Amino acid sequence: MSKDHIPDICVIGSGIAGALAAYKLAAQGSQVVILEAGRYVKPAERMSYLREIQFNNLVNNKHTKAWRSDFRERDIFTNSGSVEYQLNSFRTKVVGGCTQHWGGVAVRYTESDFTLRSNWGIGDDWPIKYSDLEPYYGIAEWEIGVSGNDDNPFSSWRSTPFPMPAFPYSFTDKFFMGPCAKLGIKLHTVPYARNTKFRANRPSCQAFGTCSSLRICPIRAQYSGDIHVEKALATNNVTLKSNSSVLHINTDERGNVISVTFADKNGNQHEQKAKVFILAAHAVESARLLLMSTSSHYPNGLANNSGLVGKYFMEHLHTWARGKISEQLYPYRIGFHTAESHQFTNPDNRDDIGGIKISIQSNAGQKPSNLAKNNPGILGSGLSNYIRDNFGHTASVFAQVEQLPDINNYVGLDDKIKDAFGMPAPCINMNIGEYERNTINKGKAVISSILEAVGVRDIEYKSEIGFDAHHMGTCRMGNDPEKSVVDANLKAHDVNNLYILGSSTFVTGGVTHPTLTIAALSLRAAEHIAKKNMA
Amino acid sequence: MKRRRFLYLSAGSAATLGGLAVAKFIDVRGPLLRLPLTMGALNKQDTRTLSSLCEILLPDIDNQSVQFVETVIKAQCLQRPGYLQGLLLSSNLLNGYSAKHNNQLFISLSLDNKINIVKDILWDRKLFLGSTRLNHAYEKLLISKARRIFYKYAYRNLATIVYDIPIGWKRSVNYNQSPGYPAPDPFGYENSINIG
Repeated sequence: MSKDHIPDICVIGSGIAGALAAYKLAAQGSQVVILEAGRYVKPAERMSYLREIQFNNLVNNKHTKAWRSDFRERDIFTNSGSVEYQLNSFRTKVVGGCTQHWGGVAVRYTESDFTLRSNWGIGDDWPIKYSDLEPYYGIAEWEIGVSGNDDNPFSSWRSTPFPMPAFPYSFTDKFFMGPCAKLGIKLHTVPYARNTKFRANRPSCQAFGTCSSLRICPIRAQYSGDIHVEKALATNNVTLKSNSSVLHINTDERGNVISVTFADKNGNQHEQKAKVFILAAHAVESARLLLMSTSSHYPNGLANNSGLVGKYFMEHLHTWARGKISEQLYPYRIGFHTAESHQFTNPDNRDDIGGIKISIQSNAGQKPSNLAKNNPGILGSGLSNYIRDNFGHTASVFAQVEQLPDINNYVGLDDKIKDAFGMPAPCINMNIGEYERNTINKGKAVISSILEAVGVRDIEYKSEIGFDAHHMGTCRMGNDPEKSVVDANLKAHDVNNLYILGSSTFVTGGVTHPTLTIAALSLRAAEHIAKKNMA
Repeated sequence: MKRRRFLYLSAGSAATLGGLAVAKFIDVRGPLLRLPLTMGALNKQDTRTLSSLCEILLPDIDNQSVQFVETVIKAQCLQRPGYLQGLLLSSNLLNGYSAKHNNQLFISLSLDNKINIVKDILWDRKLFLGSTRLNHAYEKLLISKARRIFYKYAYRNLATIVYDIPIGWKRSVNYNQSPGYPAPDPFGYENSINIG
């Protein structure tokens, strides 16, 4: 691409949403520029990056995960809600986006997740149905490589098989099978975007165990968005600009986007023009960028005639419980859990109690190093024996629950606090409602019954409600421009050449992980963009 | 019997209340050590003295793992304020106790004698089970600063490192990686394994 050439598409954000769209459009001949605020860790550097993290963690006696921000002044944020929301613990800015630090769970939403209002009179309905998205779920599973078995009786119908078989149950998870069956709770395998066999030039999982502990798969058996950035680059139709933070989206007098202003790591500002713009910067930064992009045409922020940009911010909430058990459970031999139950994701009384996803934890209890650190002064072979006797005797169960969309939960701008580029920090206003608290309590009851059934003594509960780093809402989709930000094809209602991709467009959050739905929506939108703009 | 039980209960209650009062009086937030924050290289002899603690923490630890632990503690001295001084004082304490009890350098002692030296320096950290505040008060009042420095910078630090590297996992829980399962059979995690 020459310097003066105006590319067809500018994609802001290189996470799974932006990467898949960029790849699909570039593969069809579009000229694409990807702007990514974070840095690029190349595939060959991943193993040395992992070793560096592991060594630094030993030196610092800490457990710092990969992909933590190396540019804190850029990523400053504030809170205004009743809940302290630690945004930077739940996101990362890097090529590949949040799929660099995700757990890899790639599960579909169910049919009922799209129709909460129609079915129960709560939340809102999506402008699309499961059947509209189902073909794209299949394509998404194929593109990112999902391993799974069709053994979940609580999932919705599927028209295509999983590309790879599921991971077998861990010893821990198998241990829970019998007691759960006695309680009438059905466990099943977990679909993961992680290879169980060599596929698409990526090896099968070698059980490094670092995917959940350090949030990095050094061999890329687990999918991350940079894989599709690289596939996009391989088309020779794509330019990747990393360390490029977009500060403003610029519009012309007709209200169309003409360019974006971005800053490099040194703060030098540049302009990127394009014909069509795709905003895929995650639920917080996408909303923030739209709110910052005011103009005479859009005094309340770009694409914000509805006043709903930033509103209806959602998460998944969680709780867990654990306790000592006499049996040895052999934890920490892989990095992830292998059994879940979606039995409670769609309760009959969903208007009172939300959906709950149960997962058995394959990695519960203290690691040998923690047992050694906290031991009461045992030395010699006694210390090894002490660790052996105490390791692996903790059972833990996790409950993830849905949060309903609430206009009082939102992402706004904090004009008093500026980031490294002088732009207002995002301000998170997060509150937890009675519906969610009731659902958490129900989740506690379910996991308590499971732990009691496997023989846990003295159950210990997580003291506070946790968040699952699943940012959703803020640019919700809908058919009514007064009640939503984007239409069913993810085009901004107010702007002809702006599309918003990612979980920001979710109307409701469902109960399970959002990433596969993000991917399916992106593939669907990319098809629409190609048809409409590239004809 | 009733009278004796009453006396025991009274004495126990008085000791607990007294301990709480002392803890409140001295406003203990934790045993502060206040070491110089200078960073720098740890010399070879002190490094060896400290790494010889590895065999106390994990008997029969191999040389390669000990060398790796040395690399980590050298990096701590270069990167973490307080660690150079903390580890130097710990090395001196080990050699001081060794000279006093065995008239030798710590590194020259047999494993049993090394264990005895470290046992002498350490104390029962669970004296007041369940009360961090009482433990801290007790430690600050009754345990010398040098011994507290040794606990934090040498004993606890090295125990964490030794049991976080592959040899620590292998010897304590019989897994081959830290964490993880050997690559030749990555799905072998579904079976039980002989621990110990």
